[in-house]
Amino acid sequence: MMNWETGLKRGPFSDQQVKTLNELLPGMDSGQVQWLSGFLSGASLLSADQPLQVAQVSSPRLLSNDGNPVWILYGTHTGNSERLANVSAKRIEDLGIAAKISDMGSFKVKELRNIKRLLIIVSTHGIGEPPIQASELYEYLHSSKAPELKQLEYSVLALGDTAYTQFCQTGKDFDGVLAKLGAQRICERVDCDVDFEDDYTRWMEGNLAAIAPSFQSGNVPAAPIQPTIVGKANPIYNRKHPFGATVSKKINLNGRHSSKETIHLELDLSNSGLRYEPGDSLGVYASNSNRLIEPILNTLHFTGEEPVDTYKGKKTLLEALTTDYELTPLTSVSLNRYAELTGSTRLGKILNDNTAVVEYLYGRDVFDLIREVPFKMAPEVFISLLRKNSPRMYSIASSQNAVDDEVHILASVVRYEAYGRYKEGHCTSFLAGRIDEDDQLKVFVDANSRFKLPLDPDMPVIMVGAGTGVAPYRAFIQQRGIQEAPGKSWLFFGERNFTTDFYYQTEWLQYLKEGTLTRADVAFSRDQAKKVYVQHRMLEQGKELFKWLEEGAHFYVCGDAQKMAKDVDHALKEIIQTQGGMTWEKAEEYVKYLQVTDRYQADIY
Amino acid sequence: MMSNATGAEVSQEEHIKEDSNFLRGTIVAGLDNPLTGSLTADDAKMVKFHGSYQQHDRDLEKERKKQKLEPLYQFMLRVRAAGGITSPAQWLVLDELAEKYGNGTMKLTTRQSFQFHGIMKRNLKATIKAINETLMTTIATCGDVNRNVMCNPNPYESRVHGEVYAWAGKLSDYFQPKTRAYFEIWLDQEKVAGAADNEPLYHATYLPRKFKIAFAIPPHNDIDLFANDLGFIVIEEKGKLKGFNVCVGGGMGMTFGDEHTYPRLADVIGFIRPDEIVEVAETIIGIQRDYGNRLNRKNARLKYTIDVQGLPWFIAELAHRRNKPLLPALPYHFKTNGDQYGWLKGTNGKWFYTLFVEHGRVKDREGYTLKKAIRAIAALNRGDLRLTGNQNLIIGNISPEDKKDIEKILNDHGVLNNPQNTALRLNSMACVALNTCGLAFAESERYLPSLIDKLDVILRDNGLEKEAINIRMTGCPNGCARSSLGEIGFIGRAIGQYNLYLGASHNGDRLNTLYKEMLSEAEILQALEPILVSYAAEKLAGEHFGDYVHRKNIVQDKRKTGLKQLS
Ligand code: SRM
Ligand SMILES: Cc1cc2nc3c(=O)[nH]c(=O)nc-3n(C[C@H](O)[C@H](O)[C@H](O)COP(=O)(O)OP(=O)(O)OC[C@H]3O[C@@H](n4cnc5c(N)ncnc54)[C@H](O)[C@@H]3O)c2cc1C
Ligand SMILES: Cc1cc2nc3c(=O)[nH]c(=O)nc-3n(C[C@H](O)[C@H](O)[C@H](O)COP(=O)(O)O)c2cc1C
Ligand code: SF4
Repeated sequence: MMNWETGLKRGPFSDQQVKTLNELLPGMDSGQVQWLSGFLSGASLLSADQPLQVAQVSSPRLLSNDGNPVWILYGTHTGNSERLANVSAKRIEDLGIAAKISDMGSFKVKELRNIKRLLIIVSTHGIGEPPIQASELYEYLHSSKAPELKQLEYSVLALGDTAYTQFCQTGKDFDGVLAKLGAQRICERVDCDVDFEDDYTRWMEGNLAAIAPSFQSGNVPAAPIQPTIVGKANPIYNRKHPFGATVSKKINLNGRHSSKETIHLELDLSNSGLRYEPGDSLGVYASNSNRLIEPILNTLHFTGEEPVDTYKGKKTLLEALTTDYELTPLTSVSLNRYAELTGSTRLGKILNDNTAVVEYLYGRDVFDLIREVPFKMAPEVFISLLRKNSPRMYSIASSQNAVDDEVHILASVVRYEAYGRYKEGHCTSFLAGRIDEDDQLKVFVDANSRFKLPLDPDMPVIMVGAGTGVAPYRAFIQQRGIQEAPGKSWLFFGERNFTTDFYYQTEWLQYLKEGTLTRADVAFSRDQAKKVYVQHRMLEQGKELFKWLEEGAHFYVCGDAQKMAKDVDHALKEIIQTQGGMTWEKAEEYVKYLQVTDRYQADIY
Repeated sequence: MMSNATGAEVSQEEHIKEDSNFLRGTIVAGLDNPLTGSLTADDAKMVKFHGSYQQHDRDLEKERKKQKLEPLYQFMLRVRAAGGITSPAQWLVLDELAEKYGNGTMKLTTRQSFQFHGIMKRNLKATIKAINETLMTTIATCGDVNRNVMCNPNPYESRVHGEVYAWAGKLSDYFQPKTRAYFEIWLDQEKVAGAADNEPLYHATYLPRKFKIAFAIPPHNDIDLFANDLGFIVIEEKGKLKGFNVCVGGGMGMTFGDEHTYPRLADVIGFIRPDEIVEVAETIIGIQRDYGNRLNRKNARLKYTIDVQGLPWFIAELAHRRNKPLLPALPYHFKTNGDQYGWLKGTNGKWFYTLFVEHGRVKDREGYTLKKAIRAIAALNRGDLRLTGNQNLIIGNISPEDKKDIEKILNDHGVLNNPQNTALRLNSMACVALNTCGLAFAESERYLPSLIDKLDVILRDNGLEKEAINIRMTGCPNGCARSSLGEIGFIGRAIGQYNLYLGASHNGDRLNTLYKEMLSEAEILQALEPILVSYAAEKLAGEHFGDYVHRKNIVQDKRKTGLKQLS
């Protein structure tokens, strides 16, 4: 078992706090601990440097205007919606109104009839799909069993990413289906891009004004949304105010003649006060390359010297295009705006057909758009078409307990050829080609409460990752090594070629030798005629894998969402079905159970 | 150091052999481990007996370490061809395997074998299997056993060649290990139930060290007979094989700074009839098995056994074990240890074309597509292909009417009469060294060609461009290209630095002597230029460079025999 006291002493606690916590925590079972951890990670958002006011969230006060609590249901995959739900509950309660908060996964659908007011905060994942924990409610509402909801007033906040064609699809669907079932909107749905803070605030204030007529915009200070915990003296670094971290090491981990380029970066977080945990991601801001800016300026007959007003103030066009906007990939929002601006019938036709949009956007960038549909416009008009420069997320590949003031990430460089041009990813080409050791990189920590090691270090972990999907497991194993965690661990790793693409190979071999890692299975798809992937290795080891699950193992999958995660999910169910001797339905239930108990977690992209 | 079952102190290697269950070790499990391209350290030693060395690409060592990748482990595989003869069909198989599993090249070695480099562990078994399917093998091409038996490949001047070649093949087969391990591990043959492995000659711990046998047919010493543990000089009488002079105790290797190690030429100790050869060889191997040093591998070759016990003791022990002494050695004469290039007519009326292969590396380069050329020749399926002891190739047994086709192919591929092939180059040898050899201190095969370019300028300026000077380089003092037998010899000390040795004989019966140490390229050229200039001016008619430097006392060979060197 974990030694709580030594663990706590490492934390930011006074001796008295350690003593009190140590009296309480060891007595709890793992379920209680798990719950508390989730609860605290939500609550910590509110605290910044104020003392935790735990009681407020758990016991609704009776000051509500009509006695009915406001319900908040969230559907999340990486924790953003959960975080916003927690903040919302607090803001509602601060107005003296009772709030009830639940994730969609554990929400009982028969409650729906009793709810008067409902806030839904939900993100979109996969290719326009609901997060796993939201899928049951989503399907129920869309099924013939769905009840009439005439009594219900609701409002939807949709989280998403304009880089995806099916922008905020899940939120839109919830919004639409509730209306169809007879419910009334409190206020209009708001669709948020990855920088959701401002949109959230706007949405929330709209809700609060409707729920509590006494509410006046701005009379409650906006709660900090980022979970960043900072020391008193330090400035707060978050998505809006990223930290300038120095690159202390940059290595392409792929051996010579590899078909891939994968950059391992070590960044210095000294004096940032930034804290992270294994499973969290690092947000990284990139700037555009002249390779892409120049031909665009030329095509539009701009010099780059034109002054423009941006959301970041007055700048020259060149500056703005370099650091404040994105030129690749092309987003549906840009496409829409451009179609409107130009009145192009060709674009209009495309926009009428969802699959045509997807097809059109794939592999295109802004340059393709202005080349294909030429249009003369002022610099500021051009800028208004563009997506704001948004950070890219990278799963953190280090444990802060092991690397102190550093943070490590692993980025696979995107390069491809499309529409007659060689193209590169916005952020990864920046990391690969425009940043070097000793340069600074703008970063922030993006916590992910839904991809975490089991609190109980005795629990076995099964970690499945292909490509850069292996990154968080390096953090996991560093952490378990420092903890001297007795629990078994099993890594499944896959890439193309053994010789060149086995990320962190020497470290895994060392961990195996020391016993920090119990076993490892690898699949290199291109080393033999027949393609072999991680899910094949899982199936080969099905018996042992099921045994680990039965022993309480936590199962993780990280990496490609399009294909790998689905294949792994299927293999997992197949193993449970065969090894557990159950029907497919029972196997699905088993997996569902793993999910709701947080023993099956995914960090996929 | 530890002691073995009989209580004598032996080295760690002896225990590994003893515990290996007749060379099995845990090779099978190691091949199946997908997390590393290597075998365990012990298995890496065992796999040598199967014909393979675990290596890594030394060029990439630092880079991969930084990339958190293990060294680029890969396997060198040595294929034996007794006496160095292969059929065109076999050549085609090897040629393809080099492309499919190796680094795309083949190395023709100084002992008439083929080497593949760069085979990944996961492909090792498939490669060995394919080699066996073409009726060749890799067994015992490395390890503490008798190696591939060398044999003079030039049949055109001797009627007895066929017979001698057969003896070489016979010894080569006869002294192969008897363990089934090879067949089980690589060829998926079943364990024979109840049949315990038995090594009647080698026993469970095999020999203390490698053991090398060679046959030479005077006047050609083109396999460097005196560099072998055991050598047989063919004695002909009226065009018939009369018997062999027996030579023992040759070896090239030494270790810098360890005066108990040194290159040594074999001593001629007597004469035997052909039908005695197996029994004599077996007895000699038996003596080395029983008396060879099993504690210190640096002193374990037969040459040290003989020097420690004394040559008279060795001759007596051999006589004692055989119950009879050897007959007195008969006279012989060696002219050269080089190859004769171009077409030569054999005594059987067929033609033999000796092709220069620079340092034995069969590969294609811009304008010189050697590998493709030989592939095309093999595809004609005429005659055979023979490896020489000087890393060259003989296209053999070609009918007079086929000569034109061969020449055309060589010409089409830029191989025929390449103007770069000066006399010096044609008489050069270099060992593999970097990037595969784990023991190399300096470049050899990859460097000597460019050094020869520079020396050729000096030679040309002094009218020596036709002079056959035997020049050899190795990347370390192990002497794989028999650098101690070069009229000019280089042994690598560090990257870019070489010891320069001068004065070996032109026929392989005198070692060279250290002239200067730790020379850079500029210093090498500086040191050699005045000697070559004076050689051009003062050489006697037909005087070889190696003899000239002795006559002029530029070097003096203080060694009489190896005996005095071991205190
Ligand atoms: C390929 C070849 C050189 C070449 O360029 O042709 C070669 C290459 C190697 N030799 Fe050799 N030796 C080769 C002929 C020789 C010769 C020449 C000969 O036998 O006529 C010698 C000198 C004669 C002798 O044995 O004394 C020779 C003396 C050595 C030694 C020193 C042995 C000693 O007892 O002193 C070593 C090191 C060792 O055995 O510990 C060695 C070891 C090696 C190894 C296997 C390095 C190692 O142990 O890790 C080299 C592999 C390099 C590579 O990457 O391929 N090799 N080696 C020759 C293969 C012959 C064959 O087909 O079997
Ligand atoms: C939670 C999370 C964790 C993540 N962790 C990691 C990680 O650890 N490591 C990592 O490398 N990435 C990770 N990612 C992905 C990462 O955030 C970026 O999406 C990725 O690096 C690409 O960014 P980019 O700016 O270089 O490419 P972008 O400029 O954003 O371009 C990507 C787009 O290019 C287009 N495209 C790509 N390839 C082709 C092609 N062959 N043909 C046509 N079009 C193509 C596609 O439209 C694609 O969406 C993670 C993402 C998330 C959400
Ligand atoms: C693998 C993956 C797929 C996504 N797919 C979509 C999508 O199809 N449409 C969209 O609008 N947003 C998509 N997003 C963006 C998320 O909805 C966005 O990051 C959101 O803030 C996540 O909120 P959450 O943490 O509550 O899950 C995707 C994100 C990931 C990681
Ligand atoms: S002489 Fe030395 S460097 Fe050259 S191949 Fe032999 S062992 Fe390697």
